[in-house]
Amino acid sequence: MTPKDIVKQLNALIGAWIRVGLSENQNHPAEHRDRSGLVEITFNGAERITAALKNQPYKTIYDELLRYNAYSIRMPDGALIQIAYRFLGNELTGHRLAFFPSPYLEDFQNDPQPMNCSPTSWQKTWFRSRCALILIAMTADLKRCIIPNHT
Amino acid sequence: MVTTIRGTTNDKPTSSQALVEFFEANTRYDGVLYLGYPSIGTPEGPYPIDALWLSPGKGAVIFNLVEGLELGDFEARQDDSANKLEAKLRSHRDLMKGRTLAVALNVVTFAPGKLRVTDLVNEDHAVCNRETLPAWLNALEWPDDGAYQQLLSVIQSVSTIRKGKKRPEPKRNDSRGAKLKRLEDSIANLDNHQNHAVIETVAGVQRIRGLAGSGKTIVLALKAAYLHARHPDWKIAVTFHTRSLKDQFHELINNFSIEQTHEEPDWSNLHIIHAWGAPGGESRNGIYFNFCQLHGVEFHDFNSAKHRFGSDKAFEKACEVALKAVAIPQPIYDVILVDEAQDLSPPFLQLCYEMIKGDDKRLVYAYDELQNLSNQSLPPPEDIFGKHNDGQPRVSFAAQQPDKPKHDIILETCYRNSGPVLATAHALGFGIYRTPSEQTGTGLIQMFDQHRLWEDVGYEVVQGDLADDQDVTLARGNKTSPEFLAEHSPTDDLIQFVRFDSTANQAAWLAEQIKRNLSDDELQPDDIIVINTDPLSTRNAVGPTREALHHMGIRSHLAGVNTSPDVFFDVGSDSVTFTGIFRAKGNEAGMVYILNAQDCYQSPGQLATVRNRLFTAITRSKAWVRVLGVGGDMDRLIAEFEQIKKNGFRLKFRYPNAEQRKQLNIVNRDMSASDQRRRTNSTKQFASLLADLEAEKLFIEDLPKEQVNKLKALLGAQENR
Repeated sequence: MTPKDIVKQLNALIGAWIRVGLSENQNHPAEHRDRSGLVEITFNGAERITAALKNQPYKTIYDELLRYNAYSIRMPDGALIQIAYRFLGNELTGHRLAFFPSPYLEDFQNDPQPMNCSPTSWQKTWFRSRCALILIAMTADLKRCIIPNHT
Repeated sequence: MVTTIRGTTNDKPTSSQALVEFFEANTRYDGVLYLGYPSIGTPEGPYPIDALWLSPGKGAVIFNLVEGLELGDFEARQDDSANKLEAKLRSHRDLMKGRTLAVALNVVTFAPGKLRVTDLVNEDHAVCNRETLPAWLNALEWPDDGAYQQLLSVIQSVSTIRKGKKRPEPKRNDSRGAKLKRLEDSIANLDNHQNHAVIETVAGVQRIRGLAGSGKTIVLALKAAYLHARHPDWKIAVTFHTRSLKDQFHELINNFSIEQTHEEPDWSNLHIIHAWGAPGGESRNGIYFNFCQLHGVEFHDFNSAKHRFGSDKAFEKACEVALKAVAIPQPIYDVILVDEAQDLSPPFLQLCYEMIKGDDKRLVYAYDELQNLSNQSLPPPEDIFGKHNDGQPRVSFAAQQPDKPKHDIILETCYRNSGPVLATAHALGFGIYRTPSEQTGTGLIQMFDQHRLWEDVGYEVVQGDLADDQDVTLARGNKTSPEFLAEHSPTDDLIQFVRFDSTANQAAWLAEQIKRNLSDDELQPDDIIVINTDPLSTRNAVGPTREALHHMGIRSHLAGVNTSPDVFFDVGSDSVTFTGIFRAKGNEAGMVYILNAQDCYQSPGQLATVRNRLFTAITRSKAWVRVLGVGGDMDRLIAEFEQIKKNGFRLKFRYPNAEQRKQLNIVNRDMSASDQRRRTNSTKQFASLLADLEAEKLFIEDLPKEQVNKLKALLGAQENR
């Protein structure tokens, strides 16, 4: 698997999430290369995840990431997903799959109307997004990651 | 003829009045006369100007008013005020020619009480009374070189705050991006009605009405800042319904305040707070929460209010209960300004009224009369604020007197939508050209009870009469829908209806169009909004288009709930907004695409609702609208639109009488889900009853006689109507 493959798969994955309504907002994967052969597949705003945020209250971290759109996908309930990989040449040397649940979940549950779907389909949407998430976490190869469909 | 704009109460009533009368009597002058306006920001704090006259032929004339006979050190005061104003004008490049000011600036001391003034005048410092003023004014000259509009805009302080968003310089002069830029630039001045609304403040309740896009929010923000500059010790509150307005108000008021006083407002006296509010410190404060806290009554947050009073009337009831629980309210504000009052209900306005100090009760509320097409959004003030013990209403707007500030202001010009777009939205919303339905015999879906409302919202009668059972033709005039909003593009480009065979085709076409808008038309991603008409299916309905855009490398987002309550997250200008109809409220964009409009053609038990949605969606557009849909209902909707076009975007219909209006309201009323179920079930049962009777499986005689008679009576009554 090469960095190019990963970008392609990641784009397909994000596209599929958008199609089924699981992404409110998203960033195209960005590819950074340096001379030593290090390749990073990240997302817009990745530089925002700095050590400065370490030991900050969770809400502060979440707000900061949201403000700068620093994520791969923002889910309907406000949860953020970050997907990033590091390659040396064509060899996968590291990955970062992060999930930031929204600290404001209560607001979402109390007022489903602006959610752009009915309360029941909202529950389904939420459930699907959690299933999809687990599947991503379980497989490093995005090609094998299945997107749960409407049913 | 000079337009007079009266500022807040000043300490020179007689001389002000004399000046106004002078200009009223001398109609050969034109321009605008401001009383008690502007304040100029200086290092020593705000510097108030008594009166300022701006005129195309004479430039700017400052009047220093003298109330009695004592002139005092009038020369120093003249120099002072002229220097301050000149310093302000000089900082605007539009008003400069090289290093000289391109505006003629003069100052005069006006002392109407003094009989002999001629011996006081020296070369640099003029003193006039009523008799000598004309001669002095006649000597003034300003060869107007087009700077008058800029001068107005600078004095109104809108030149700094109306700056549209920054957009890259368009490459082609006729691209949509270039047209939109010109459109945004040309709305730089306040019109006269807005001017009155900003500066004139009455001792008492003031009402400001206007359609969406008539500038209500900007007017209220300027008004708050202006009042604060004039009366820094007053406690002023600005309140609203939509949370994201908070930041907008903050920015507008701050900018205006710096213009007027060179200082940030004193936020401890000027509160920008949400109507509802919650415990948790300054930033979450709200009028209703304040009221509860102050009087020690129970506070309901949204959830507990919804639980107790139902979600439709949660806030209304919560305010009502709080009001009832307090015998003697404790006023804490000098002025309260309410935006979006149509979303806030009468009890809330009452609650604001009770929180205002003194007998004057300076309450200003602004709302959109037509937010909801089916009825007036707020009752008249006599009904809102209740009655005194003797039966007299506490608030009532007396007939307008020419020399008094206005109690009731209508912002009649709609700057957001062009005439054709707005007329189309109204025609579809009211069903003006809809195929007559069997039930009501007319295509109309809803109609105002008050005929006058049509004129209030900016229509002119071109033919017929605005009266029951009369044929009438209404059109939007140039004053209420300025031509420059429409003439940038051919009418066929302003609004288009497009029909597709399938939703897949609709999605593919839409993605292609958006791509073209961004690449060829020089629009920015945030110039585009896509609105889906059904709020509950939006998430899935917009999926395919958004996916296609993603693969084209174009970002898009779904407008959902703002995660953090008060902070308005700017998603960034590099993303196209997709939204359901609820979230679309209050948003606007140059290009608006409406998806699945076929659902708005017909909907049993919800006709008024779906037509209102279509109205809301269309009126989000600052320039262009594309209404997309599939199937037969879309064909019928297009046919209806063709009728609107054929009639030259005029509304031609017979005004239904009271009886018919009542029937329209019943047939097309908004029904709750359970009402709809009940109606569907009853219709089915009724049909099966009829079928059984016809097939003689059942006989009338089988049914309880009493009920049959009741049915007969009901049907009879229906016949006679």
